[in-house]
Amino acid sequence: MKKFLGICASLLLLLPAQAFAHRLDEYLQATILTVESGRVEGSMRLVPGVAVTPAVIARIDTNGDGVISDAEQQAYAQSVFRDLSLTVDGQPLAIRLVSATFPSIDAMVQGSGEIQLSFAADLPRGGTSRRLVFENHHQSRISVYLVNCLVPQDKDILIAGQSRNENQSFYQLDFTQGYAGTDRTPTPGLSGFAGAFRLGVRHIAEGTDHLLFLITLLLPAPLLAIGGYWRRCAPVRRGLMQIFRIVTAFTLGHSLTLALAAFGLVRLPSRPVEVLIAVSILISAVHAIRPIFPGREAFIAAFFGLIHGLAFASVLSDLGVSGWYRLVSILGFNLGIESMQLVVVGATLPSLLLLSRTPAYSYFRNCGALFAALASLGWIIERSFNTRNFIDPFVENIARHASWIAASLLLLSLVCWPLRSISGGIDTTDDTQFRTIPENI
Amino acid sequence: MTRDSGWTSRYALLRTATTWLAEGAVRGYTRGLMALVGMVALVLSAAYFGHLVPVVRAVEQSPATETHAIVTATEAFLDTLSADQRKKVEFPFTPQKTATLASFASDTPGKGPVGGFTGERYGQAVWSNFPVTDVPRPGLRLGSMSAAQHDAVMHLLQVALSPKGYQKVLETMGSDQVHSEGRPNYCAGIACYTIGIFGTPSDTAPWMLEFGGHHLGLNITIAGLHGVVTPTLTGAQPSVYTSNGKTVRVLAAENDKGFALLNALDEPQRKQAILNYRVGDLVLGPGLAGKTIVPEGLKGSAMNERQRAMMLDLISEWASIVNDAYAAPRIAEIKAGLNDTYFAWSGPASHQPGNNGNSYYRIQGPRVVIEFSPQDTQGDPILHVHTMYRDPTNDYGIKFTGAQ
Repeated sequence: MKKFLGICASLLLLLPAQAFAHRLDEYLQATILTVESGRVEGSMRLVPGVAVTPAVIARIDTNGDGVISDAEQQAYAQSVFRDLSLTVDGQPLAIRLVSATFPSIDAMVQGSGEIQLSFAADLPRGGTSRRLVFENHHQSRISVYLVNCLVPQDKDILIAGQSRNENQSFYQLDFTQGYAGTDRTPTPGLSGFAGAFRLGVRHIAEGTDHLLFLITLLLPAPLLAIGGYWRRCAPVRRGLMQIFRIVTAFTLGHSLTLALAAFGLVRLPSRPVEVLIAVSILISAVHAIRPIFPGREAFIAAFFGLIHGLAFASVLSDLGVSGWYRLVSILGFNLGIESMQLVVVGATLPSLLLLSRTPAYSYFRNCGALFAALASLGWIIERSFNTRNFIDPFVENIARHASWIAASLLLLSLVCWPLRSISGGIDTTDDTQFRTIPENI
Repeated sequence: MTRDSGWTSRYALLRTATTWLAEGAVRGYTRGLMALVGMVALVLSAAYFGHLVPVVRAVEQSPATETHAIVTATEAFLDTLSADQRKKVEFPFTPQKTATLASFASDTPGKGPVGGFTGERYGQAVWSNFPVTDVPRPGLRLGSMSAAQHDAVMHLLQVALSPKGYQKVLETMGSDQVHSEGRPNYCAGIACYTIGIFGTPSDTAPWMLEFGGHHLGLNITIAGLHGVVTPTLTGAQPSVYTSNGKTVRVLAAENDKGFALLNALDEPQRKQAILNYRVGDLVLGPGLAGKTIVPEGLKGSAMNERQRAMMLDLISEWASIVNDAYAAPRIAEIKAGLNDTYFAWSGPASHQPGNNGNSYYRIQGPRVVIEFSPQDTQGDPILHVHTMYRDPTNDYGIKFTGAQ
C-alpha cells in the first residue's frame, strides 16, 4: 500500500503540469460496425495517448507546420483506411470516407484529443450465411484496438457469432441474411421449438403450485362420493377414466387461455392470477377432504385450467417473439407442459390407485389435502400482500425432493397393499365416525 | 363396514387426529372458509381493478415523497443563489430521444481545427470522462460557491442518492481532488465539480439534475414518481488514495463483486464469460447513448440461482446509487431481464487484496449496460478506471419524460 502511494506520489512529482492526460501510453482505436441489408458502416474513434502522440502527429501533420490542414486530414484518413481491411465472404469491400473530425494538435499533445472517422461500404448480395471480417493494423505497434458490432436494426439480419484475436486487430462476424427485401420473419428453427418445449417442462417441474393443484385434484379421484363423504373405492376403470378426464380438462383449459394470452387477446395482471392459482389449490384441497363438487371435478379442473394458462402465458411473453415464431413457441411450450404433466401423473397414478384400496388412504388423503391447504393459504397471503412468509420456502424445500417423495409413495402403497383385504377395499373413512367426532368437541 | 381391524385400532389415535382436523375444518367451517376465500378474492380484485394497490404501494415505497424531497432540496439550493448565479445554473429541459456526441475545441485558440475532446450532450446538459478544463460542464462550479451554497448542493445530493451512492460520489470527488492538487491549470478537483438544473424542479413535470466532474457524470432525470440515473459515469484516478490518514479505495465494491462473480463460475461457464481478447477502454462511453452492441459472454440463463443473485447484487452497485424509492423499481426491471443479461470478462481472474484489479467486465441485458474498464496508465494497470452505467431503452428517462 505504502509502496503504491509512493509510486503515485513520485509519478505526480515527475509529471509536467500539462501531462494530465486521459489516455497515456497507447493509441486507442475503437470501431463500431453497423450492418444493414446493403451496407456496412463503421465509426472509428482514434485517441492517441501522450506517450505516443509524436508518432501519431508525425503521420498526420506531414508538413510539420503545427496545423492539421484539410488535405492532411483527408490524407491521414486514407492512410488509416489503407491499414484496414473489410471483406465479406472473402471478397474485399471498398471503404469510403463519410466524415472526419480532427482535434487540435495541442489537444493531442495533452493526450485528450479524439479523431473521429466514419466510413461506409456497400454490401453486395450473397448467400444466407455470411461472414464479415474487419481488420485494423493501423499503427499496430502502439495501438489498442476495440471493435464491436451494433445489434442490427434490420430484422432480416441475425448475428450468429463473433470472434476476435487477442488484441482485437482481427474481428470476424458471422450473420445470416436470408430474407433481404421481403417482410418475412425468419422461419423458426427447431431450436425455438425445443427451447419452448424445455421451458414448458421446466415450468411445470419447478412450478410447485401447478403440480400441487393437479395432484390435490387427483387425490380423491379413485374414490366415490356417497352422501357427502368420500367412501367407497371406485372401480379401477372408473378411477382411471376420472383421472383421464381431470387431466384432459385441465389441459384444455390452460391451453385455451395460454393461446389467447400469448397472442395478446387476453391480458390480466399477473398478481391476481397468481392469487387465484393459490385459491384453486385451496378449493381442491377442501374437495379432497370432503367432496364439495363430486362428479364435477373435470369442470373445476377446466375452469382453473383457464387461470393456470394465464400464468403460463406470462412466462411465454418473456420470450418476446411474434407471429409464426410465437405460434411454434406456444405449441412447444404447451407440449412441454403436457409432457411434464404426464410424467407427474404417471409417477403418482399407480401409487394412488394402489393406496386407495387400503385403509391407509384416508390418512394419506387428509394429510396431503391439509398440506396443500396450508401451502395454498401461505401463497394466498404472500401473493396478495406481496410479503414473504415461512410457508413458501418450506413447501419449496419439500418439492425439491419430489422424486424421492414419489418413490416413497410407491413404496408406501406397496407396503400397505396387503392390508387391503382387512378393510375389504373400502376407504375406511366412515360416516358414523364423522357424525360423532365433531359433535363431541 | 369392517372397521374393527387390528390395523385401524392400532392407528386409532392418528386416525382420530387427522380425521378430526380435516373433517372438523371442512364440516364445521366449509361455508365460513368459502366465504372467507370469496371475500379475499373480492377485496383483491377490487384492489387491483380499483386504485387501492397502486396507492398503497406508492405510499409504502414513496417515490412521490422522494421526488418532493428532492424538489424541496433543489429549491432550497436555488434560494441560496444570487440572480446572476441562478442564470448560470438553470437551463431549459428539452427531452430528446437520444443524446449526441459533443466535441470541444482545445482552450488554446487558433491552433488547428475544431473537434477534439468529447462528451455526451443531452439538450444543454453535457458530461464526459475528460477533465472539466477540456469539456466544461454547464452550470455552477462548487469552487465559485459560498460555503452555504456548497453545503446546499451536498445536501441535495444526499437527498437524491442512497447513502451508498452519496459515499461513492464523495470518494470519486476525493480521488479527483488528489489527482488535481498542485496543478493550477488543470480543472479536475472538487472546486471544478459542476451542478446544473435543467427545467423547473417539479413533483410532476419532468426535469433533470446533472452533477459531475472529471470522473463523475451523474444525470438524474426526475419525472413524477420516476427517478432515472442512467447514464452515469463513475471513475477514479488514482483508484487508491489517502484522506485524513484513511486509505480510500474508490469503486472497491464494483471491483471486488465483479471478481467474486467470476470466481463463482465453474470452468465451462468461465470459458463462456472470459473473452479471448483485451478490452482497453469503455465501449459505450460518453457520446454513445442508445447504442446496443451484440452481447457477449455468459448469459444469465446459463447461471445458477446464486450466480444470478450475485450478478444482480453487482449491478445494484450502480442501480442503487440513487435513493431506494427510485432504485427498487429499477432493480426489479433489471431482475426481470436477468436471464437475458450477459456477463463478459477480459483480463486476469484475480486481483491483489486491497487494490482494484486490471480486468475489464461488461454486464449487458435488455435494460442495463454496465462497463468496468481499468486503463493502463503510466505503466500502472490498476491506477485508473472508468465505469459506465446505462439503460439502452431509458437513458435520461425518455420513457417517462415524453421524449420517446
